[in-house]
Amino acid sequence: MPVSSRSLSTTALVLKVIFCSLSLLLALAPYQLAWAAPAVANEGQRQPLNTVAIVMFVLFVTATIVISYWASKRIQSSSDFYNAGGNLTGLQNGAAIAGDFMSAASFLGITGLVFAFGFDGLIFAIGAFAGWPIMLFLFAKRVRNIGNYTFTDVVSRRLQRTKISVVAIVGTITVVVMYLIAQMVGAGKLIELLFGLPYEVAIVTVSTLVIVYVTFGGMLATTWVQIIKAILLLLGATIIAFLVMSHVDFSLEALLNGASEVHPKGRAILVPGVLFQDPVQVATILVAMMFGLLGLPHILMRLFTVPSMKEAKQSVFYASLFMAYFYMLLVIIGFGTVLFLYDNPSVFIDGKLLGGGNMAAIHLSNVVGGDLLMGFISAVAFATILAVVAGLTVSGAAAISHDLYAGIICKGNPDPEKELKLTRATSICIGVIAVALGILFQNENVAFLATMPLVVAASVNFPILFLSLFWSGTTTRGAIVGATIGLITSIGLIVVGPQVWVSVLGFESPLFPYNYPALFTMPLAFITMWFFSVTDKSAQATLDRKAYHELLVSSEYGPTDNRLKT
Amino acid sequence: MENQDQILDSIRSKVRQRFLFAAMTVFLYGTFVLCYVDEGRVLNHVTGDSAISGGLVLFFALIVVFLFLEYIFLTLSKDK
Repeated sequence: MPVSSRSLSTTALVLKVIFCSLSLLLALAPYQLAWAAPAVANEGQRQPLNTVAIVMFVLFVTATIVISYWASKRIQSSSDFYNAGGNLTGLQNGAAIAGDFMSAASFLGITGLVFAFGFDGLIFAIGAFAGWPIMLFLFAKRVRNIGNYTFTDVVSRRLQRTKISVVAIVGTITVVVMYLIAQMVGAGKLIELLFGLPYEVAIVTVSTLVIVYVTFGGMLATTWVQIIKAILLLLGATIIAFLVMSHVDFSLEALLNGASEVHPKGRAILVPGVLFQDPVQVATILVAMMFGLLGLPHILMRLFTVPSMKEAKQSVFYASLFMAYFYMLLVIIGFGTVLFLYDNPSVFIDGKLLGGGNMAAIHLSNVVGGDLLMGFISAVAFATILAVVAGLTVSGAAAISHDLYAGIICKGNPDPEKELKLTRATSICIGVIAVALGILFQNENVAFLATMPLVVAASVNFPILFLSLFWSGTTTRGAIVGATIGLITSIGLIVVGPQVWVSVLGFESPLFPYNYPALFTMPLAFITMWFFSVTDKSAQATLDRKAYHELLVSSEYGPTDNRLKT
Repeated sequence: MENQDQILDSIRSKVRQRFLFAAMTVFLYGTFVLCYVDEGRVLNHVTGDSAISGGLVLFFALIVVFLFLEYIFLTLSKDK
């Protein structure tokens, strides 16, 4: 449905005002930075300003704002806003998916963990990758065929729309908000380090930029920001890895030997056991990461941006290719940080890495490539964060405006103009929430933080999606009770686990020993869904079960298929 | 209109294929835990003078095998 021309001209006007304001802000940046510099020196936590980094940073921001402006001109309907019109190719969408998923947690967080603990940090890399084959095998085609914009569309296809949508919306918003924390912490630390700006100002800046992208450019702007970012990130990671390997005659053996010689833990970093010793703890991480990915609403949403199921499958495969390459490079970059930084006193203050462990990759780029590469990598890392936050914001906004407002309140017949306005207002609210949570969790490792929402996604969204697609016995009651149990137990156990109970809330010891309880909460959610479904004798349960066969055919052959209809 | 039983059989066959590939992936993925138990001794040590541990080899191997599985799955789907 077209949006009125008055609304579009208002949009353009507001965008121009914001564009001018940001241009002014950027023009004044040197003065602000000059003011900020003494504070940096006093705190001893940030390094001298990197002019190249700042120039690249400004270039990237300007480019993305131009993209948002271009995209805002093309948004004519809710479809344009939520799924970029649904006309991307498999390769474009694959790059955007990779751009969406290769987050600050992956690049900064995993590198930081390898820097500190060696091999054990790679658990997060294999975990981040392993969900993609399952996404292709189980979900890519089926989800694409029976949804429109969000995963709530998929689960509400055969279950009672109003009730299951509420649960799916709660699951989506919870995951989106938790995932935002990791990205905001990464962004705040990065800008704090580069610009010498206070952490709080840094995350407000990020939040403002993302609100501009999403509010005006929707999924179209978000997609192109993600594609550009994916290309830049892969290019930057390749350059760093190449330069690292060139210092060790392109011998992985030499790199690992050199790293183990300078790391305080010695050769222990080459094998498992420095950070994790308990196999159950490792299993909790692996389960959370693999199955959590399958329930991430902003990732599932990307499957609707292509025109066919074939393109959906191809996009997942292309995304896997990009990510496989990236996570393999992280081995070189991670151990490269060990080799080049532990022997370099200029990046340490009081025995701690300048800017914290999350900044190891940035320091490495400076050591192997100088200011130019550091500037480039910093801009890429910043782009990474902006792209992921933008994707999350679109997903959260769609949950409120499309699933809640259009789907439940308006019973599928919303006023398109009001829906778009609500989407934009929701984007702003999500940005504000992200800032508050980013401040609260600022001292945590971003890889740890990014795994927490995966626990919730694995315990709430994944079981609903999987059972509604693959088990005819699933009923609305079973799905709701199971998802509620999954949500309560996963959040409850995360809160009383070590990362929140001890690190954030300051208690002496945790009430639950594991950070990522999906190993326990996901099976609990499945069992609960099964039990409350098989014992459900209601009239709605009969309808839910009956609807399965039609969904089965639609999901395999496409939404317009009528093979089983008589 | 095709015979309904044939259509459902075809879908069941596709579902079996999906689950087979998914189960293989989950099983292979689970082997990473072996790095942290006594039974996976080969994986949690460096061998001889080499700095490349069995765990690291497993890391690279899993990524390559997962990609290969995806490729086979896509190829089989295309044939159908």
